Amino acid sequence: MNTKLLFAGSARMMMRYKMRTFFMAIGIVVGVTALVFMRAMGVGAERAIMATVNKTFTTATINVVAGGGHLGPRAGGPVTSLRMADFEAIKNQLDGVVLTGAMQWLPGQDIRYRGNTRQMSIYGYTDQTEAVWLRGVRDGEYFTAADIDSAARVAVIGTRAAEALFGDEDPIGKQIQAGSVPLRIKGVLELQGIDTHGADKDDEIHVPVTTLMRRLMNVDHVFAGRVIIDNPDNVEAVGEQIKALMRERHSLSEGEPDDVVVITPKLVQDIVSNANRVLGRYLPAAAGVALLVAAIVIANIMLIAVKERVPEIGIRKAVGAESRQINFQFLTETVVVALTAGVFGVGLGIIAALVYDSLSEVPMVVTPGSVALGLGAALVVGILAGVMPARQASALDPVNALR
Amino acid sequence: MIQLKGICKSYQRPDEGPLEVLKNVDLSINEGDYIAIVGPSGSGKSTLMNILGLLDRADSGEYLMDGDDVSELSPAKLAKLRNEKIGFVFQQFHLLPRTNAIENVEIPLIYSNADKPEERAIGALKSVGLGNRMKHFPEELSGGQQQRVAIARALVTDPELILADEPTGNLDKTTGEDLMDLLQQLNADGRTIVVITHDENLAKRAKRTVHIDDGRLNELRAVAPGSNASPTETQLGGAA
Repeated sequence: MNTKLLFAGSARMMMRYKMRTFFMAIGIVVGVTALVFMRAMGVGAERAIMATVNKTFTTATINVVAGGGHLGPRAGGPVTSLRMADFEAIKNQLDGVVLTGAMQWLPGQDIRYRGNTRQMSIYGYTDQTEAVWLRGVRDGEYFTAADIDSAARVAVIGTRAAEALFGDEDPIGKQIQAGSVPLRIKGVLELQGIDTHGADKDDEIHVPVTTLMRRLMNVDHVFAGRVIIDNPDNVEAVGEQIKALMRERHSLSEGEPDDVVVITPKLVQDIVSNANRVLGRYLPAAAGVALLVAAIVIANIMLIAVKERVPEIGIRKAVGAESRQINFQFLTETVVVALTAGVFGVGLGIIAALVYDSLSEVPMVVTPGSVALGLGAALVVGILAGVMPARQASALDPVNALR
Repeated sequence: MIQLKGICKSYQRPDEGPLEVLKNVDLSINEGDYIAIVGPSGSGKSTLMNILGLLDRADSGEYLMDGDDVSELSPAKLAKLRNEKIGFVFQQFHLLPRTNAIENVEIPLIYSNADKPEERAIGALKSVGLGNRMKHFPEELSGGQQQRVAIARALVTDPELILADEPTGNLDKTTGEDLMDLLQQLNADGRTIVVITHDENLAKRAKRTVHIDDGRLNELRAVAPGSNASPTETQLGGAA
């Protein structure tokens, strides 16, 4: 068989029956455009979230948060069992632990400087913040070990918070008030932007964790801490060891639930990808429904075309076409239309994604995988829609077809 | 070239018994023949044509093509034989719409392995006198021109046998005459032709005329190629 000639014929029919081709193609074009656009939105969102996560959470990092079994506030008040000493123990007793850092926080505090007041969160960290929490100062200096030991009345401040309180003044060396406690500003924090919870990380102040516990909150427990280990491959194993150590140190008996949550990068990624499933899977599924409708429309148009083309099928068989060649031809015609429509759909989807990316705050990312998905979907629709009409065409008896 | 021996074909009718369309038909077609098959409607002409053209199978009997029995071949093998050895011409032309003359003539070459299909198609169109209509669509051609395209399509694979079913049936008298001239020319060039026709003028041009009636075949006139001997009536089969 001369396949080149057959393909040329299929392409020709596509061009010469423009209306038929248009109605066959339109459903696929719309469906594939939607698919590519929505994938771009899903991938863009995932990348943006992962970028934020990676900025603050390296793969060799384990977070330990007070509270059993779930994150966030819970009935019966805060869990008070997690202490700074627990993190000292983790560092000293477990293999492969490089650094630990405890933290406490106090949301919604009025911070005053002369006549200005601004409500913000106060975070308590150790002197290891730069290495553990990956955030340092852009101006001035961070806390020292001595500041932690002495619960010094010092603070570093986020850029937006500083602008709100000090305007054009240089904040370093100035004294602010947190409740009744005066704090001297030692430095200005590196810019970080909005975190995954929606909090503005540039509108907060840091104080030594000891200062926050003793002078501002009057507690002896911390809210959470972070453990950095030497080998990212061991995060899960070390995470389990931390859980066991905490149970031992907090004297939990068998059957009692954990009083801390151990968050490994895998858990973070699972949570993030769960969130992305909505964008990455369910939205494209909606495009899939459009493509299914397209397949039904195409199959119908092709079935009508087969009826119209009975004499053509007869003549082709008379001049030597085998049934399987007729089958192949009709399937080819459907697939050629579907794939061409798929190419248009991918093109339109990319254009739509680029336009939306530049007009909105939503980051759009078109990956080769999304392009392949679009073309693959078009191909599948073409084959699904083409199989039955092609089979019907090939089964025609030439004697009847030519009558 | 082709021998039919004892061909029988019947169709099942819903309420009555089977309808015998061909009854023990014998026919011998030799290279260079020009045979007209004539007969009233319902006499079995078309069935005979379909069996001769390997589009349909006989219920019993033998079909020898170049000495080989083809009656039991698979549909795919039959398709290949049709492609290589038989060219069809139909009353309704059966050209593909929105497909120009060259593209129509190329169709049999899709199913063969012939190289340079376009050159062959152009050659075939020129041989039927349509060298100046090659890019025309069927819709732009007269009936006679369309039938010439169909003949070019039948010729393009260089078949041994041209089978024409009422080729002048849809043409006016003058165009019909032109087409008969063309068929006669092709036969003079050595092409074997079988036509089924009602048209007495067309039948007269053939070298042999075979009458079919009620499923039985009678040769009315057999003229030796090139001779002007008067028609002799012979029962075929035994004579062949």
